Amino acid sequence: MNKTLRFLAVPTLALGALALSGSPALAADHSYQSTLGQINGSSASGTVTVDVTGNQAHAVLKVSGLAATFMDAPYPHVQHIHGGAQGACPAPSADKDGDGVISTTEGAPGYGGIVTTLSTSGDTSPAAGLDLKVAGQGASYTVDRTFEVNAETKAALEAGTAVVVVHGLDPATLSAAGQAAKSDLVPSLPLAATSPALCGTLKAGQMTMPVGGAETGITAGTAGPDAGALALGGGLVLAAAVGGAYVVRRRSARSAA
Amino acid sequence: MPGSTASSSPPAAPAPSPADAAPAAPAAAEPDVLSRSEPVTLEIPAIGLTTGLIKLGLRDNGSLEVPEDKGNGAPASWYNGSPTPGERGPSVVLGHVNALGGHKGVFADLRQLRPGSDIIVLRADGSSAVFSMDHAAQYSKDGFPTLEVYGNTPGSELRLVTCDGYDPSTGRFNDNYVIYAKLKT
Repeated sequence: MNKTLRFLAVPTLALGALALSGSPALAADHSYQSTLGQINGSSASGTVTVDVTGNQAHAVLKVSGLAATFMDAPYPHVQHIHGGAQGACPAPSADKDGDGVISTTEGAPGYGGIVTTLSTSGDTSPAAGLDLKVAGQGASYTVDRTFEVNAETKAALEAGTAVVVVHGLDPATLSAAGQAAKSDLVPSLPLAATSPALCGTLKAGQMTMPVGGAETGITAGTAGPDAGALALGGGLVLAAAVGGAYVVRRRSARSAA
Repeated sequence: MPGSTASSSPPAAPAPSPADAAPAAPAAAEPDVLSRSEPVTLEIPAIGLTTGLIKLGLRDNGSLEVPEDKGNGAPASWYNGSPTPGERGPSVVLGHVNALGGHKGVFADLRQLRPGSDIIVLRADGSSAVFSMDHAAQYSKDGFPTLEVYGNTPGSELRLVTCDGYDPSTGRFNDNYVIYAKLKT
């Protein structure tokens, strides 16, 4: 107890700041997540989280295994949040014209139109939906964006009809008919370029997701026999840290009771 | 010392309370779960572990708060932003692998658990949630797959998280070891 009191004698400012750090202050109003599944045999995989706080959305999209190159350059993958339909990814039966490829249009009855473009920079509105310059690049990448969420996207998220779709297939994996076909969206491009490769419906998270793992090992720096002496020895930062932890623990204990 | 003995013996034979007892046949594929009740004690008979569970949240940077070791070991903790054990979703429980002074931490023996091992959580409403270990995985803290560990689950699941990957050159633990368990129904 003596030790504890000494730690608490640390300047109020530092303690106040640290005490704040114990609460989930930055928790989003709503958190959504999805594990993306492959479409059209792309053999890609991915995850996406969307945290909405007020009118701001923080989206993190991680993908891998997508088509890597297109005409000797990194393959551009346009990617969006779709909405306003059934909130569903297309089944193979969605391939109405039987060319072996579910085009973006053929998938639309399930996932709807574009409500947000998950661009790598700049505009996130539907208007940027087919801008290859701000598309994801190559086989594997992460897009981490914070943007103002529009009404359509917010409504789709809350209704459970928001669907993330990443487009762009390796033409070599398509049927002959599919390879010969033109894009239903941009006729100057091949069908492969705009067809869905990954798809997943955004669902409300069952928890406020922590960042990363947990520091569940006592490191040598704090576990050593000298740790106590060091803290008492006065390094202000270390002492403040211990004091902060104490305050946090007390608060947790109180709220638990 | 490990697993700082908490509330010693639980109330005898608590009755599991099936949460949604009434609507027996809602849409398929949603396994039955228990109603919300905060956890009190964790028991893992296979490694002789009984520990109290404290309740902790997130730090300012969004990472998990961990139990503080004040010199006599620390109990395990339940992340109070995750579902309670037995509710639908992954309930997250943390424990140190080691303790001050070179002692074992409350979760030092998690590696001995095998798929099928029982993990029992006694809850504030007197019921218990009994989980069965499914699998375990070791992840680098640099590449921790948050969605896999913390992401939605169809039924009630449990995640026991501790450290691994001790690096003698830095004195740090580079990895997390995670046990995945599912509620027995």
